[in-house]
Amino acid sequence: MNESAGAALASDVQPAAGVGRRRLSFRAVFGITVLLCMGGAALLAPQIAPWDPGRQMLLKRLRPPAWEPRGLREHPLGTDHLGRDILSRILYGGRISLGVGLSAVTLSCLIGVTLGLLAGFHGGRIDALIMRVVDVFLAIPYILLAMGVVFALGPSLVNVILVMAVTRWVQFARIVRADVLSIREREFVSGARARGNRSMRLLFRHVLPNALTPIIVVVTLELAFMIIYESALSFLGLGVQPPTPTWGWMLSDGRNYIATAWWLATFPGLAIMLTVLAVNLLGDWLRDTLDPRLKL
Amino acid sequence: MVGYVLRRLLQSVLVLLGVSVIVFGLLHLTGDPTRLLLPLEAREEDVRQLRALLGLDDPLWVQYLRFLWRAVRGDFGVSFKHQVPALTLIRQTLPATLELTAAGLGLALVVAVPAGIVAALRRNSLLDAVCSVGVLLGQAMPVYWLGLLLILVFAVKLGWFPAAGRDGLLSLVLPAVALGAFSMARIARMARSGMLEVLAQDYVRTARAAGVSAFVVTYKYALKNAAIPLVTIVGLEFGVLLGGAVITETIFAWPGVGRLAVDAIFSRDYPLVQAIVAMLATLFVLINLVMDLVYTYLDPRIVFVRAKP
Amino acid sequence: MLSTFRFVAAIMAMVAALAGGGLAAPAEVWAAGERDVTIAQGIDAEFLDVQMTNNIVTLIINTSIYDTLLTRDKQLQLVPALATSYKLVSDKVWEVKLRQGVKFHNGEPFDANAVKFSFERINRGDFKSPQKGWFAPIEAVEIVDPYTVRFHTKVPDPAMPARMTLMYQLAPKYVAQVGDAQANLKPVGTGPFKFVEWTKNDRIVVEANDAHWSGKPAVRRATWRPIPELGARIAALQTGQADLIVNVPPDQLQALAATKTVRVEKTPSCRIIYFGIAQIKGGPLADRRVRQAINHAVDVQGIIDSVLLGNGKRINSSMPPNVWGYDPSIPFYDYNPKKAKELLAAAGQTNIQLTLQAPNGRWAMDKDIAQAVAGQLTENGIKTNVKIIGEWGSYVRSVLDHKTEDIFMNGWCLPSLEPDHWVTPNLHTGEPVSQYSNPEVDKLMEQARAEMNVEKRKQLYSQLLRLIRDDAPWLFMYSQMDIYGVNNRIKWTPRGDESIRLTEIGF
Repeated sequence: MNESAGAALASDVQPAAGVGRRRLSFRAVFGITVLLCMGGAALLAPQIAPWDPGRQMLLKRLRPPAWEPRGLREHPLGTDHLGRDILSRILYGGRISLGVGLSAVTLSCLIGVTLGLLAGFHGGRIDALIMRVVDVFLAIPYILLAMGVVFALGPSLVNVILVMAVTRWVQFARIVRADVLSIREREFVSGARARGNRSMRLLFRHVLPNALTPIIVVVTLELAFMIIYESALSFLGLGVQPPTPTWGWMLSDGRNYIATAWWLATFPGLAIMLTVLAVNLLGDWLRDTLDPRLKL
Repeated sequence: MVGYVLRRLLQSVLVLLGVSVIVFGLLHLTGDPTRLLLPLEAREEDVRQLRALLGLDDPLWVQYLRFLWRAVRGDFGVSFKHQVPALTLIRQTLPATLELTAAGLGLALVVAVPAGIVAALRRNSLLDAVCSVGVLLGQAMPVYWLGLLLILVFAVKLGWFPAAGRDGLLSLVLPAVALGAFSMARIARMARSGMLEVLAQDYVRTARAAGVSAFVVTYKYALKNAAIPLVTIVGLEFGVLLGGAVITETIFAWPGVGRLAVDAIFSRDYPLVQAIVAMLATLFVLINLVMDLVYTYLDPRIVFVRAKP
Repeated sequence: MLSTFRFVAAIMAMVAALAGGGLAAPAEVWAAGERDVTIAQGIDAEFLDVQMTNNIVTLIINTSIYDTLLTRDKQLQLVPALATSYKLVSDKVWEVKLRQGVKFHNGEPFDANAVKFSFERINRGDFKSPQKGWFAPIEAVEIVDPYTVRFHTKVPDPAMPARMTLMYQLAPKYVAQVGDAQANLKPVGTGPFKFVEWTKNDRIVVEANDAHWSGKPAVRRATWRPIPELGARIAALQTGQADLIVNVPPDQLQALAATKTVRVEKTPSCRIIYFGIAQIKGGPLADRRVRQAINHAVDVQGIIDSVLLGNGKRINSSMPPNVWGYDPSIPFYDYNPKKAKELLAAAGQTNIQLTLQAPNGRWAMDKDIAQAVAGQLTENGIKTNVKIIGEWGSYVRSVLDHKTEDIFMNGWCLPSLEPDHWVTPNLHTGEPVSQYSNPEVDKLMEQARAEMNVEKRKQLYSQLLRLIRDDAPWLFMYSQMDIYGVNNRIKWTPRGDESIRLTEIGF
């Protein structure tokens, strides 16, 4: 049974809830809009940020957002405990947070997909070996592993990306492998093989395109995870170090002011939340349209 | 069947071995702990003495084998920092973590499974969107932010729960919510897609066509089959939750293994870190082993047909 | 087939079972009784064997269980404790009379044997005590009679009384009987409180020792809880879960002001914060004019006012005001960017670039202070980069190994309150914490350390501190304000030595 037929039947089974099947999903719209905004803001940060994100103005510490009584118009979202402009830091911070997230996901994807393809395609010993490695990485709590590595190598932008990628590649490997295994059995692959295609070409021309669907979905879900992951590392003091602004650091720094200067934590928190929500919704929508039966 | 079980056991052992290698290697990458263990006034001679005493002068592979040999017999050595056997410390703190993780997972299941099922049944409707976004919010907030907000609202402002510490059932609620929120989205998603797949099956369509009500169809046929992938996910989520527990325990001053681990890593307390990771990994492997066996028991075809996900 | 409901029910049962275990765990929900208190600090005690630690939090907790020979009262003056009097028999011999009729919590009597045992245990070869350095000049303890001992020192040591405030007394028979490991897990002392239980990272409970020589404590039961996260610690105070919390940063005072059941208590601390300048690295830092310029280029008071909201007191040299030996007549460096530039020009160093390192979360607002300082230095002609080393272990190592950046932030306070401890360990040539070397200063230090005449000693320290101030081995910052949050139901005011004495809590 192919996918669209399955989808049609599924909705036939349901009582009509009064809301028909839409063509343009709320998720897709929301997801893409938010991401475009965030991405755009991040890219344009140097142009649109009103202040230098690292500039300390100690006399203007802890000013609330402009619409509050003590707020200042030149600091629309307020200032932090060192007098730095929050809006500018959010914009610049977005570059780092999103950049780190994207890099980590890309790296993670490369490692995971490669290993997953190898495992699924070659089977046998290689498969068993790779799967054991996957199991090892699954068994160690990722946070502890990340802490250990960052601690050993020192916290820096590169190390954080590396560590995040290295602890999460298994998500890709598993999905890709499962997909490859099922694809392997299909007619056209055996047919192609019979025609004498060499395995590498086979891998890339026939197998990979079909495995793309789950990979794309996992990429979006993992991106969301990476953004949260970065903030967790910042909380532990092991994230990208100051004075580089990142949403994670801002939230972590601001967490002591939740009761008194709520804007320090709320804005980076909202930025993280919206971005993660958008990415997740997008991923959900992608999965729904591409293959709702994906067990992700 | 027996062959399968044995194979799984062997795999588990190999995995644990792999874990031990990684943990051991990583720790030695973090550097020499001796300076940290001695007071400010320690002389070079004291440092050298301590190193010899702790066996840190031997070549790495010797240290590894020694570690492995003792670990297998349950001896993870004495924590550098606490001067108490590592295993004792774990024994004291592990129950707290298990309590928290189980509560978090249980809560997540109770909320997320119905949410996912409802979303599947009312696919693409407003209800679907609300449920999806609802559980996603939990995953979109960093755990420590959620935790602190929960404390602020439910402990300080409303006074319903204690702010921190482990003091009985009430004090478990806030940390469990903070921890479980993260898993809800994943579990809901799983329940939803599992449900969707089942709903599309022939026999469900048949039952519907034969006039069986949607309610009965849902609960009698679909749920039972959707439960199976859930069994796998519980095992995996456990690992994710252990990761989240590290932060949750720090925020809520919960006396569990996660907090111990953070402290141990920062103090380069080799024996304790090794012991904790070994314990957690073993637990994870065991739970997944059990889940796999349950899975197999439920559906013996799986052994031969499915590619292990 | 496993139905989802049964599955979920199974999980809930598991949760219930484990939670039930939680209920069986320490069932003390907050401080149960009217005369009980709960104190929340940032970390758990490392050891309850007081001789195994030099960590202030651990010492605070241990002080409720163990007594010392002498102690300090609220005004930080020396008063008798387990020792009732002392006198100098000769330059290197101190005779101490012990209090009679004191018993350890297990019934064992306290006498000269305990004193000798406690001292020798620290110096035992296989015992890894960080307190060895505290008693380095003491050669031996001689028992004269069951309630009189003599301390023989290697050199004349005017600091002996201060040292006696750190001599915690252990029970010889008990320790010999149960061994070191158990003595740590089930401590026995002569203190005003007896040990009840210790759950790691959860709580330490002690209860009143009504037979204590200082009288019946007002507090009946005390629970020490470690709550590392600041927000949760403050919340615990606000919900009444904790009666006393420590280390409240100035920025949080507003939040506490809103809660009517609690108040804030502050006191100037013995802990000083400074930025060490690694003079031994040579280069521009070896020139005193550069170091003085650094001191003129930072508006210390301004930073105290804006970042710490006024909660700090400038220091004029390397000692805080509440340590004996402090000289208030020594002038501060005034904030004078012009003078700084002149000094730099005179030294021929108009284009310096330095790096400053600071920890994160070790002292109140530490990384914020560091960034503020670096910012000001840069503004006033000394381009400074900031390196935040979040992990305390690495930070300590860099300091002890003399592998720090050009400027390194440091905090300092020793519970002895002995003046020499504010100069020698961090400014004497060759000391681990010192990256400064000046033979003239060294000589004065050694002289002052051994001077037995109180008047002369005071003068020497005045001289020494003035010399240190002029030679500017540090950017002199401030002595901290210790800020505590207290529940209004208890009567308590803080001490200037960072300690918390349960006997000072009333209702």
